[in-house]
Amino acid sequence: MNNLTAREKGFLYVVTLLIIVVLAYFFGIRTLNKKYDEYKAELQTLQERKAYLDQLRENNASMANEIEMLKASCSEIELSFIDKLETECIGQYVLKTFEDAGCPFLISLSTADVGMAAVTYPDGTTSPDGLVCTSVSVTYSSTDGYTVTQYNLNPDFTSKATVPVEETISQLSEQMGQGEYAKRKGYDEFLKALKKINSENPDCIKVSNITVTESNGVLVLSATINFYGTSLKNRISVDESHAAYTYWNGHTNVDTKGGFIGFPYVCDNKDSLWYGVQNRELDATKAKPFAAYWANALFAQQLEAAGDSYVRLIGFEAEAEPTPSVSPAPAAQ
Amino acid sequence: MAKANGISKKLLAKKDVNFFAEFTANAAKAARMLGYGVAVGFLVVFVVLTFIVAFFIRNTIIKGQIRDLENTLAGPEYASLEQDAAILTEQLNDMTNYYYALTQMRKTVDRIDPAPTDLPDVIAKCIPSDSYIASYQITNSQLTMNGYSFTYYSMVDMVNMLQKTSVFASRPTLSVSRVDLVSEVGIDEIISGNTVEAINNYYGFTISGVLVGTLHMSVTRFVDGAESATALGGVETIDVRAGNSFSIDGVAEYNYAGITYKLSRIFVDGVQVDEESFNAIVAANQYVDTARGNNDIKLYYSPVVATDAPVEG
Repeated sequence: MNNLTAREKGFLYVVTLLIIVVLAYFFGIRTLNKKYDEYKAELQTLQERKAYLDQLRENNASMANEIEMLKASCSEIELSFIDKLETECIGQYVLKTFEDAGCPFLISLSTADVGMAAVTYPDGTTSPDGLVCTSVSVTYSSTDGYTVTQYNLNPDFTSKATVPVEETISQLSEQMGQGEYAKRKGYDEFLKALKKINSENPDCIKVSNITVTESNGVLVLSATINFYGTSLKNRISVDESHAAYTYWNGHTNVDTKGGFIGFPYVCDNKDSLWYGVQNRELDATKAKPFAAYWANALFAQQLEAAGDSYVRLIGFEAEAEPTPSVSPAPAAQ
Repeated sequence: MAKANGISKKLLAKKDVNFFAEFTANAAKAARMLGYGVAVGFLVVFVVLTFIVAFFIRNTIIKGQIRDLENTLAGPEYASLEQDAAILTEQLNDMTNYYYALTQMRKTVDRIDPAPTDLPDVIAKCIPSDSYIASYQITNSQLTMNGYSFTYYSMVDMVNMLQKTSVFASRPTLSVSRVDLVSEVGIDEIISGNTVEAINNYYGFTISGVLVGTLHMSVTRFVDGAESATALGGVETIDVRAGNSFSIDGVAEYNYAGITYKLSRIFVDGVQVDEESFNAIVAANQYVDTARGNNDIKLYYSPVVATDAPVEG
């Protein structure tokens, strides 16, 4: 080294310096730069992912918001339908509405389940949720402007009546064609009831048919009323409303002591309002499977001898005198 | 003068002095140059080291940023976002389907109009004095009446009065015929001894017609081109009186769950709206039509922006 000239030493020095610089560049700066580029790319990817996730978070918030709005909308629609269609509640409501409107002379009422088309999703699959419809058909009669009226227990002709039956009949007989019985009533009252029902819940209760026909001096008034509800498996809302047609408004603690199965020749159940009433759907000639043929024939003979009165035939003696001629006819058993 | 090798000693001494002076000067120069070289060398090394340190620091900073970002993304705020999105998408889909089903039910019931219970009052005011109605039937869309009158004009008079109150949506059908009392009750009931049933000839009539009602336009929005039909919300029902015009505003674009959709097709009762009409609707941003019947309008939309998820790593 000592033999080298200053120039050579300088040259060597420069070369060494260059080597240091080159090594520093290749193993230091370039590597760090390369790493920096990788980090930069990684950071950019992460930043993009963060931006994407931020966007996703906004979308999630929008979706959550949309779901909440849909839930609110769904609840609103759910509550626009009748939650549960209870036939007895609907029947009680319809009968009461007509009675309250002054149209109580019922000829018939019947209910039916109306099949509704299945609800499908946009992709064509069938929804587990669906519409249900209960249809109530009623037929009432107007009065004729002369004959005295009677419905339910108004006035009462049963053996339990507070006013003696003969007295009631006597009073009513004198009123035939008089006072309120001289007016033909029922038509306006029928329409009043229909208007009330139609306006009760226009979203769910719809009068679908009104028919008025004259018949033997009175008007036969018919209507069909449809009640729409839902059967929802995915229900969100809770219906806490208490409409007259959704919960029971009728009698409770009903006296059931006098109820019976199978009408005998004369009702002898003292707790029953039918007490003392003769079965009017009897046919003396009809076979009695439990009896001998001769006994059946003898029964018919003895009934004829009793003036076709089962009361006399069986020797029925009512504690309170029933009125035999005005008894309503029970269905044949 | 003393001489050495024939050269003056004085001259020699002077030359020596010059040589040493030059030597010293060269040595000083060389030392200075060496100093410069070392300084430059240090400077270069310093610069290189500075760069290395700076780059190292820069890399450390960016690594820190990456680590912070990774920690942030792994944190509770971000970690479950994609899972949440999948759950929310499913929930939204279920809820949209449920809402669609409910609105479809609502549409079904809303399209059933009740029988007009005010109509009997209108009818009662339109019965001529020589007439009576024996029976009538009112449904949500139809009125049928049977009656009798002493003149055959009464039926048309009655319809004329009903038309003034806009009862019928279209021309009602009418029929009138003289009641053949003789063949119905027999001569004996008309003339019995000295009693004569002196009733005027009278006419039985029937009036039947379609009632004026409300028409229902159902509007449903769908995603166009989706693998399975996907609804955007539920079914909207617009009630319009027959013959009146109606409009659906803002149809060109639709925002749903944070995504903007652009109208691509329109179907009315299963028939696609032609291109010219479609372009006019998009330009006006409004669908306008006249209610002639219960229409089922389906609007198909394509998403305007589709966001792709970048892959991590």
